[in-house]
Amino acid sequence: MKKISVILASLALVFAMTSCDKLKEPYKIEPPVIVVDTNLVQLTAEDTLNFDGKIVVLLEDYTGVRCVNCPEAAEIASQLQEQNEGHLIVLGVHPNTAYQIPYNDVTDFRTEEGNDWNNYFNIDSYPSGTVNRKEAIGNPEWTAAVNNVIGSDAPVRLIVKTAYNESEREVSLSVYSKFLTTVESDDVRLTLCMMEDSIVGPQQTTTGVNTNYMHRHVFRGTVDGLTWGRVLDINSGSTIESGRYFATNMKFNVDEKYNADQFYIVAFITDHNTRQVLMAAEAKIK
Amino acid sequence: MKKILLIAAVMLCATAAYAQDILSGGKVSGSFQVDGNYYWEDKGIDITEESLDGQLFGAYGFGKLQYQLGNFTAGIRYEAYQTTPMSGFDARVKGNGIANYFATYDNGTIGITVGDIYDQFGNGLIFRTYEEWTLGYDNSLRGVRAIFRPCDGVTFKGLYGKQRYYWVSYDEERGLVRGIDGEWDLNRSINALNGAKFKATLGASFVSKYESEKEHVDGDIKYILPQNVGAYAGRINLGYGKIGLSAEYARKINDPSAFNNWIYREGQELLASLSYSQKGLGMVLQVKRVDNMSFKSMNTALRNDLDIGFIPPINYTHSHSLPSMFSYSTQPLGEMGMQFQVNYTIPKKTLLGGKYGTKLAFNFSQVNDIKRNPIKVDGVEVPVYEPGTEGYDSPFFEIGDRVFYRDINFEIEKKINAKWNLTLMYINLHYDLDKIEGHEGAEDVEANFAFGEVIYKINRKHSVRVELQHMWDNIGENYDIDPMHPDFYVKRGNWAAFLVEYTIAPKLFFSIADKYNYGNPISDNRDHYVTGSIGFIKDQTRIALSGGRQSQGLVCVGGVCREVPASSGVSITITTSF
Repeated sequence: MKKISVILASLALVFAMTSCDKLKEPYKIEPPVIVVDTNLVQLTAEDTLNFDGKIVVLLEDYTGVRCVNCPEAAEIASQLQEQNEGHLIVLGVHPNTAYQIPYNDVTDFRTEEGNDWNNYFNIDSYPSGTVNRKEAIGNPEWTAAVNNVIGSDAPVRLIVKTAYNESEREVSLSVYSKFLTTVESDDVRLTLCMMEDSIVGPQQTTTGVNTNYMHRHVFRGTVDGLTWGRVLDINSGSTIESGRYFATNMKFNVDEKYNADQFYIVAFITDHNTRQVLMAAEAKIK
Repeated sequence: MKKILLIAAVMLCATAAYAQDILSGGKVSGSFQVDGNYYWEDKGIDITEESLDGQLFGAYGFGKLQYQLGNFTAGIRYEAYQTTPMSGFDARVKGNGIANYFATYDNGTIGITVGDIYDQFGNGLIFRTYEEWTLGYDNSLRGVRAIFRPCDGVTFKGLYGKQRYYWVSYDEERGLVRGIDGEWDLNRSINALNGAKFKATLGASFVSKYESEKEHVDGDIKYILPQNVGAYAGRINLGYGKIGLSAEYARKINDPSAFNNWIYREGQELLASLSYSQKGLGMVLQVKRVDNMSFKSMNTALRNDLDIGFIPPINYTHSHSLPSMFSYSTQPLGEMGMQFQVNYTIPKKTLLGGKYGTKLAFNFSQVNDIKRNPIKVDGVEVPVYEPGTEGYDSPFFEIGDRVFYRDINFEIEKKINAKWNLTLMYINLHYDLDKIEGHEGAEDVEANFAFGEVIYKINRKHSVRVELQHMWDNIGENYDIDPMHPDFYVKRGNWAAFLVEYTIAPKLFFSIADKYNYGNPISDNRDHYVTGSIGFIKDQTRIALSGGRQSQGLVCVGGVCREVPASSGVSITITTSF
């Protein structure tokens, strides 16, 4: 009996020690972005005329520099993007597992947000992907999943406008969301991502490490530090009615280590309750 | 609704009959309760068609069945709540279905329960799950519990699960609760202490909740959330002859939540009690200090729901209709309280004791706020309760200036002869209407109450009970009211009340009562609340029918309260058990 009691006491101690997350200051993060009320980059008539009313789909490619089959998946993603020009956005997400351990400073593409998304979708093998964040699927299923949604009517007209101040490396960003149908959700969010395209660096391939591999669509974190986006309308009830219009404006600086010539803002609107993407949009900052 | 109740009853009966058939030798027990209310318009107390919202009939019922065979016990509870705006229940209790079920095997050494668990560790400071029908409250834990008793007097408990959240599916977002508890009764496990005058029990517990969200987003600010929040408590109960001492201290790590305005301060709570009792005399002194101890399994919960911990009230519970309108509701964010109670019986055959003795009781209780001092963040002083900080600093022994509640009461109960029994009571009450009921800016209630009750036994079966009450409020008829806040004055001003009850033991009683708010500062509020009741009791079945007006008030059980609006109508309650 004594033995059992000792075992129980030890188990209790282990349980107690692992079940407390004692945090240290700072407890809150105030994002380095400046959010303003005035529209920084105006919407033009041309922007709205260019919108064809069809959905823009988000394909997130969960990938890694040490993942041997990932280049093949990236190729599928790029082809799908070409085939569905203007209606498919690709984001290469590098979470934080053994497959993403960088070869050098250039190839550290890991982000905290990407890792949180990865964990939410329970992804533990690479390549994997999500199409409009429905569920995690392997790359052979991407084409069918994309074709399944492409061509449907957009529930939201989402337009990203940017302006870039070269000397300050400052981006002014205006995101215009107009709801075209009533969305039944009490938590609709806008996620704003930084994406850097075409980075040359080592990548594991089927024939060994290719040091001149072109990494496409690399997710560099969210603009405002919010993993799951910002609530579009904090006063909304259980729906956002068709016709509602939101403008989100902010300013931020592009880190020196990123190539501003290949820098994009990817925006997408989600129903946070299901995490599913309703609509996506992107814009190059330059 | 009737249909649903009928189906529920049939289902439960069928289950019971079936169970008795296939598991003969077992014991089936159960209880049922049905409460029905029919409300009507009553312009005298502002009950209009609009406030009734077309929902004139409210019905609430439950059926509980338990089956026991040897070491095995299983139970199920069906609930149906058809609430209306008049019922005062949280609208989320509305619905019906099997609310709880469980199965337990317990052979004395090992006990396992699966299903919905009601339990508490020590005084419940860091873990208590319970169900309270009158409040519409149920925070049971759906999961598993294991109990291990390695030797006499030693008990270990471990449990985990998710709490009930009205009718919301258990798959939906809210935290997991895990807990362990150990208790050691020295007198039972050490032979030398068996039957000793000295008694001691020690206990310790640890509870942790897990929530998956790592951050709370408020506009542009992101609050980093602890996914695992642990709380621990230690307790001791000592006794020596007529003296008893018990204490429990609990602590909780950073637990930012909507309830505490997202502050990261650790929580702590102390509850201690010293008692003395001998024939004819009992005394108890209790003290309590609560600091940031709201502990819920969903950090966005704001009301009486998903509480993991429980804050025991240490106030006198008034049952008489006038003082019970001002019941105290415990304050998880912070309170410091004490209670002192003396009961003394003047012995029989003395001058004051007379033939039967005279019972005297005195109670003093007071609850203050805790002291909160602002803290500095990066050298800059921030307001108390600033989100994303430690919130404030609170010296343990300093008492806050604000008095939430004070109750001084004195009672004499005297049996005059075989036929007459007399009870007199005086109460002095301070009640912080702003803090307790949320009427921000309302003036505190400073009231005195007198209560008298006479019971006259006509013969062995028939008796009459007459009750008279009066309340003197510090706000009178001529008070200069704030016209923007008529809600401040709903139950203010002087009241008078009486009750006459006729009982034909043991089956039947009738009563008529009136409460009259004659001194309300708003002349429209000077209303009578007349009610008539009939009750019938046979074996385990009790039927009570009452009709009339009910005044606005709080229904509180164990310091947890719900507000009941004023209403007019008839109600019936049927309870039975077998």
